[in-house]
Amino acid sequence: MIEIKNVHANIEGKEILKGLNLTVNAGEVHAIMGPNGAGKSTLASILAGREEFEVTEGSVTFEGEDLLDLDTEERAHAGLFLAFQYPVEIPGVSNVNFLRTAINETREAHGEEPISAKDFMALVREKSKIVELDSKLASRAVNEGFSGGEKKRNEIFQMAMLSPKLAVLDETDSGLDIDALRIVAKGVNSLKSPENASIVITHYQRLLDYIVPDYVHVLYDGKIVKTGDKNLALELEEKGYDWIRAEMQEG
Amino acid sequence: MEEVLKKNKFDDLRAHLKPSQLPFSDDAREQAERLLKETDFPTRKNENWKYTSLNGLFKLPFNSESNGSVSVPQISSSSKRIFIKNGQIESDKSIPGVKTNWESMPEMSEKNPFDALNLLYCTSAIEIVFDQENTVDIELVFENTENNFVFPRTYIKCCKQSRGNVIMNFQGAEVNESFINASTYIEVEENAHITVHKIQKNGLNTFDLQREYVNQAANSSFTMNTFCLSGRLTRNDLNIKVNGRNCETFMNGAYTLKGKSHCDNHTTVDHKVAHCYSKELYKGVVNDRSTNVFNGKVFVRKDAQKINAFQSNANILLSETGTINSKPELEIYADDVKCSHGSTTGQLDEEAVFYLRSRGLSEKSAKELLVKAFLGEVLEEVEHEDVRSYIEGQIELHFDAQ
Repeated sequence: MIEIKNVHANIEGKEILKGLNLTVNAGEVHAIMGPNGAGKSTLASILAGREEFEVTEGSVTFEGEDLLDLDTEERAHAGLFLAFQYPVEIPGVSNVNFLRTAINETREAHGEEPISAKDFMALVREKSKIVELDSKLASRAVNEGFSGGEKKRNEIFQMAMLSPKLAVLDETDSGLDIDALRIVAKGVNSLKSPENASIVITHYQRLLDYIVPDYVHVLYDGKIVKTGDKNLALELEEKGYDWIRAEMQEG
Repeated sequence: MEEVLKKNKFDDLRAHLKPSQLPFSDDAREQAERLLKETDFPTRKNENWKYTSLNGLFKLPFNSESNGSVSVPQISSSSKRIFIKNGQIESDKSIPGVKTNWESMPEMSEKNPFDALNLLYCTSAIEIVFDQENTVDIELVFENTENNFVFPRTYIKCCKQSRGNVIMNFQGAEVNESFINASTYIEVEENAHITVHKIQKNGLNTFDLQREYVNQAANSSFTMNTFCLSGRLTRNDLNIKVNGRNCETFMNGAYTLKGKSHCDNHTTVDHKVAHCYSKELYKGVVNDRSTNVFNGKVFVRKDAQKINAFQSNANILLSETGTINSKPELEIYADDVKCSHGSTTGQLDEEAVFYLRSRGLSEKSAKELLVKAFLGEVLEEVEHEDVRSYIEGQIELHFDAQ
């Protein structure tokens, strides 16, 4: 589904990613863990197409297309979704209103007819249940006055509405209490299918109790330095990142 | 001798205009003539014209050349319409409460040289009276498809205990190069409630100078909604005198400027008596090399206690080359009032644009949605649903044409 090859990326001249390799296939869940400053959010940012980040080397192929060559919205049309670490509040723009435009522009990009108002509302009702999002919240202005938990649930709601091929969850667990975490994880799990995949970027192992990954990668100093199964996450939780640091220095 | 040789710039302009045939009094004519002789043509040295230059007026062709057509929308589905095409009143069917002759029109009551010019060269005089029988929306449709001078003089009266809506709908062909110079007098009697909606969708080279003079009697409410959508230069002077107690006054404005458009809204609310409320909200977006000027003034006179007056102007710059001059002003002589004013200028939130794009919206749709949300605050104040939906559509068009 996505193949990230030897990616180097800068922000303001400072190199953050230093040759990152990662391949994700359909049906898989990959977790990316790592200490602060390792480049986790930079990875999410270059996948979504943030212009402040400059990719100086390497390639990203998504469903056979050169991802880095696409505009942010074209990436969304191709089936990429980023759940933001800090979802933006947009006063005056209604959640469902903008989602309808998003769905229709995606359909248009695929040469499909716009969704009917009836089908759309049915979809809103169906998908808002997944994350237990009050339908009133769904029609309010985007994230305006939402609590931290509501914002993250809204991200998963949007993900459910757009049904992406690849979802990148950027520290979706940060700032969530245990109940909200469970709801968010439940949402992500219910959207899992053999046709789609997700990359879960997280700081803590906690989220991975609920979203069980097929692979766990350790991102350290701009590179993936270790890959394992879910037990690697448990090991990290127990020992911290210092042993990785030590291993790196030995190597 | 020197006096004689000194040519007034108003004379240059008058050379292009045809005197009005309307039967106003000799007194009014004399008064207007005198005012034009005594007043210097406004330049940037004049505080009221500091950011707006009228030099372009002298380059207008005044050749009556046709610019093709313009499709004129009916704004309010329930309105009675009067068509004024290239200055001339076209409709001949009679509408209750509307007169299209001079009769009881007020003459020179203001000391503004452009009002004097409007009187002497008036192209249409329309009087609209709302009373308890005549309450239907009246729409004045100014259709401009020739390079002409268009000098409408309009008198609107809302009688005691009555309600009314007037829509002044200025629509010009895209390449129109007219000079519009409009004076509108509005009399709001006791317990009357009136809203005037003004839509200025002029040709890209049209100059449009307008003045409204409003008098409010006790317990009345007056709302002015101004929408500046296009035109080379648009200047509005909204003057409201609140003469009676317990009045409400609302001034809402929205503008969407691009190209080389220059838009200037001057508003004055004069609270002469106590116990009144006024609220002003002007918001707009400025793109390309366009310029917006806002100057809002609220007076609270010495004995006008317990006044609540709010004034706000907010701008979004969509380009690096747009200009915004904003000056909210308060002049308060009473000591027991609640007044506030403010002005903001910023850019679209880049983070919000990125967020929307990451969901699949094109950059254009994302910006359009954010601008609509920004201007939505003004549209929320517009109670007339047809007017609101027309303006919403125009905001979308504004982005389509880019």
